[in-house]
Amino acid sequence: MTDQTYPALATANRNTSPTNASVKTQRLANQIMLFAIALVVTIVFAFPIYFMVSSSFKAENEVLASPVHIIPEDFQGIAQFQKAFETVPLGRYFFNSFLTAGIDVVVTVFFSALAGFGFAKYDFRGRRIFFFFILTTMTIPFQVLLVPLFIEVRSFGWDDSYAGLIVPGIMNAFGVFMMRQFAYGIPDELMDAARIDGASEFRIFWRIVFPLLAPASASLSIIIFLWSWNNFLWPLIVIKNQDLAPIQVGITAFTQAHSAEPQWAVAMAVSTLATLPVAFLFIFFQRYFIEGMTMGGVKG
Amino acid sequence: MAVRTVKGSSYIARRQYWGLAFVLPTVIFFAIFFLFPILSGIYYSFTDFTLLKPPVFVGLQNYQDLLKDRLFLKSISVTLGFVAGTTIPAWILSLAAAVLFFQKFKGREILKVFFFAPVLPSLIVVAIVWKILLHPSGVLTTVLRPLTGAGEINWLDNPALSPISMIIITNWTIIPFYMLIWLAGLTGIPTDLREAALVDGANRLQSFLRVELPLLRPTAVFIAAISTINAFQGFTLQYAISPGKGGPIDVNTTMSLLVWKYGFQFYRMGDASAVSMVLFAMIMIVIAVQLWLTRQNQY
Amino acid sequence: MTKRFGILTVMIALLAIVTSAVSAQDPVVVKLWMHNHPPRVPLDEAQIAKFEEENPGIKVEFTVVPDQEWDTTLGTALASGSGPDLFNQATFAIGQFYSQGVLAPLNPTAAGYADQAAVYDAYEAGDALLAGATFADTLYGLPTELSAYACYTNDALWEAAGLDPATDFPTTWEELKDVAEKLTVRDDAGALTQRGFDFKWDASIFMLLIFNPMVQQLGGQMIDEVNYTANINTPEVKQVLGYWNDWANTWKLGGAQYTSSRAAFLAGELATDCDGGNWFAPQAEEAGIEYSIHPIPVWENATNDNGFANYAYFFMVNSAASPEVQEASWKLAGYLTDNPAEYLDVAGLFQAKADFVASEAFTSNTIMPVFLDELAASTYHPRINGFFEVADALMRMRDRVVVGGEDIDTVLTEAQDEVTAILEASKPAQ
Repeated sequence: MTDQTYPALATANRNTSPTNASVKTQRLANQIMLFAIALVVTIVFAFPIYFMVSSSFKAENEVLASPVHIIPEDFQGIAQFQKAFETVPLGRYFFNSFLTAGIDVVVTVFFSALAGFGFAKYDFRGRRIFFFFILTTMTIPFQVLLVPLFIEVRSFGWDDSYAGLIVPGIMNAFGVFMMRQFAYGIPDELMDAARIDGASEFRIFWRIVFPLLAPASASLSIIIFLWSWNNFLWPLIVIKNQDLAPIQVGITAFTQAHSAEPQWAVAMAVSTLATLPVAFLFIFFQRYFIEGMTMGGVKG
Repeated sequence: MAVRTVKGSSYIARRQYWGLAFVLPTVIFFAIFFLFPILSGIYYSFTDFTLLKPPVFVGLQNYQDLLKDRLFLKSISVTLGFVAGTTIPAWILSLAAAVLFFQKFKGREILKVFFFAPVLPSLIVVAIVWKILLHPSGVLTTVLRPLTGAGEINWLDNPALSPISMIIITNWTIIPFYMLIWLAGLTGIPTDLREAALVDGANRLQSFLRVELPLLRPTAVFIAAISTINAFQGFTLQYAISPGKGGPIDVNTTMSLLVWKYGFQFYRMGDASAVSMVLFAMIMIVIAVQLWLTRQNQY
Repeated sequence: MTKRFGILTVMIALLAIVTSAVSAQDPVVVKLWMHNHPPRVPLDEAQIAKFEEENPGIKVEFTVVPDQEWDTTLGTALASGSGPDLFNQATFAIGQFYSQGVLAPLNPTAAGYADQAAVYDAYEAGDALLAGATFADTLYGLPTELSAYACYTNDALWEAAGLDPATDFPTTWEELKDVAEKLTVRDDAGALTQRGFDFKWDASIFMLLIFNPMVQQLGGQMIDEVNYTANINTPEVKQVLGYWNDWANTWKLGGAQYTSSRAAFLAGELATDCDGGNWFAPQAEEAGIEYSIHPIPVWENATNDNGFANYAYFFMVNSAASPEVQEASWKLAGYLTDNPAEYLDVAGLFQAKADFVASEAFTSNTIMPVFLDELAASTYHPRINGFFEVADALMRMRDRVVVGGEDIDTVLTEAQDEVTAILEASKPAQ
């Protein structure tokens, strides 16, 4: 796949102005302009994150200092990180978060794609009601569902266990809704062609639709991982045994200590570490957002 | 070669049931884990429930009280303001960001990762960082000083500025998030369609409006709906950094925050459930209208 | 026939002996929940291990809960019937819990005391201090930490301003204003970079811990916890609210928009902080602040010289637990409250046991006597059903004047109605 920025534009220019030099200058100017805009926008957006990261290298009384210290003046090195690992079993927390998020992503993305496809491309009795019901679960504030959900999970015997921690979040209405929208964009001709060739409906899903939903799946994977990773309230309520606690509950040891002011520097250190996995995931999935990963075989 | 397909109505009807099969796993999951809590929530809204003792049925009492509850009525206007401020701007700006990051230029990938950074930390941490940055003589005030000349600006404590601060912070967190979804949508548009429009003489903007935007319609509808649902449920930010959890003078008490307050701070879970039912109804009406106005025609 | 009957009898007897032996060996399990107070957690774990050794029939499941989410977690657990048996609860919620019948009264003998009266005797100023958990002459808890606020001064900042904390510390609120002005520093743009003193504005609870006691100093009483009535539209309240308002808007010495007082003190940008208990001292030391402790100021026209409100955390027992579990819980509670010296040293927690207070370890401590004086001179905050709702309404009242700029008389009148309505709705059925 060649890096054609403006294929049509290039063609047009080649037709009207004969020199390659002016094409290159035009492209360079565009590149610089785009980069500049993107840079400014990115700095504005990323600054608070920079602040979080830089605070993890500050001494405790520097974090809240006013006027704000943009660069740590009393550089702590990895002292705050070490303190985090010494105070709580951070490795265990990371493991629990990974386990929960990993399972959530795989199960949610697969079943959301399946259900989204079902809602978008099939017409069966009850379709509207089922979709409405699933939408409902997204619209009621979780604080209200918290107590009865906990009562229910407890009745299964799952409180204070991995099952109770992971299973209630293993599917996501957002995922279903999102995949339905993306599934609408898949041309029926592709599916009909496969049916003519004798493929079963599930095979159509697995071989044709799911690969075409790759960009959406990539986005959804990042989103679900993020939500699962940052989930706080449910793990807090359902887990008592600290061996099962995820990162977000672990952070509270620094932000919500009893009769003590929060230790922000350490909390920022833990948060910085906590954002790395999702950042890596985002980078990893970038290749699904490259233009051109589209439906093959469609004639314009 | 002639293709023979069996196209009896029963064949098509049978095929549709596959859709049901695909959908059933998720429906069953939600039925198991959410039906009981939702029905419980509805039941609680008709009770007096302090959490410390079992619920006591009181009929419509909670709803009648809500009609006269000044705090509840205020929370509705707070919520609507928050919704307006975090749906439309975010929708537009996230699309603009997606288009920007869809263009090819050197350094795009690195910048994209950093642009996405606001989404990564948990909202609690985001809140804390912003609380520091929004100190009356903090970074934002200093940066704006040439324009305002003000030594201090009470971003979080001024009743007028505080909700605006919440809106700004929320937009900051969700624009990169929705950009991600727009990117997925843009990626799915066949390149040749776009190029065809350009060759036909359309400029980039026209090509965008006429070709890409209509193809982005499902994504656009989705983001509009999701941002609305999320906005109506705005809670964590206000919980974490508004003075006194919802203040000052309740200008940041969204309906969702009120649910938490009534349920877990005032031990009035029955009232909390009633508020959440009203909130739920509001969201469903708005979403239903949205989805109906933009209903999908299969092509 | 007789033979079979005899064998049957023997078998039944054996069965009875075996089952009773087995059930006697079944340990009683006590679920204990405490807040996450890092210095005390290892101490508690060690104590619990020793307790289990000495009491083989009792097993303890110990859970530590993040502070801010304590109410949510405890509420959910109790609502689902899976609440703890023994929990360390604050007096803020005790009114709610008591009126809902959640609390079991103290079992003095299980906890190691001769009777209830002996418990009061075991604590210094027992009647006043244990009043926090006393309802209708019955005691419902054993204290794990008692708290009274005193004033901390950042001595370095005071000396830099040419003041001597030992002699210049103000005894009245009126004097405080003048002293604070000398300790206030602004930068070129007019922004406050250092405050001399500030109230704690950021949580509604301080309206009942700090604001209300200032009203009490003038002889007023905003909340009557026995009759569930409110007394808000009074000259005393007006004077206190006027002072808070002046502090932020007239004299511009502080306000809700700045960093919260304790955090600011630890960061070295607040010279005086009057909302720290003795548990704040270790934190000040760790932050490298040289501090000294002073009593809370009073008004020039004060009729009482109370300090700020007392509050405490008490071990409480869930009334839904079985009698054996309740007994075991009180036993554990008594055991864990029997080491005041260690808990003070390691965790900075004050358990005012009489023999500890009389001991050398206590009297040689420089700051504890000040806290004990404040504790003895002040009373508990109102312990009512609807505590947080009332606090919320009071904070709204304050903000309407200070932040919203509304007329103080109008606001007081409306607040009177609002709080009265809340109290009436919260009043437990007789």
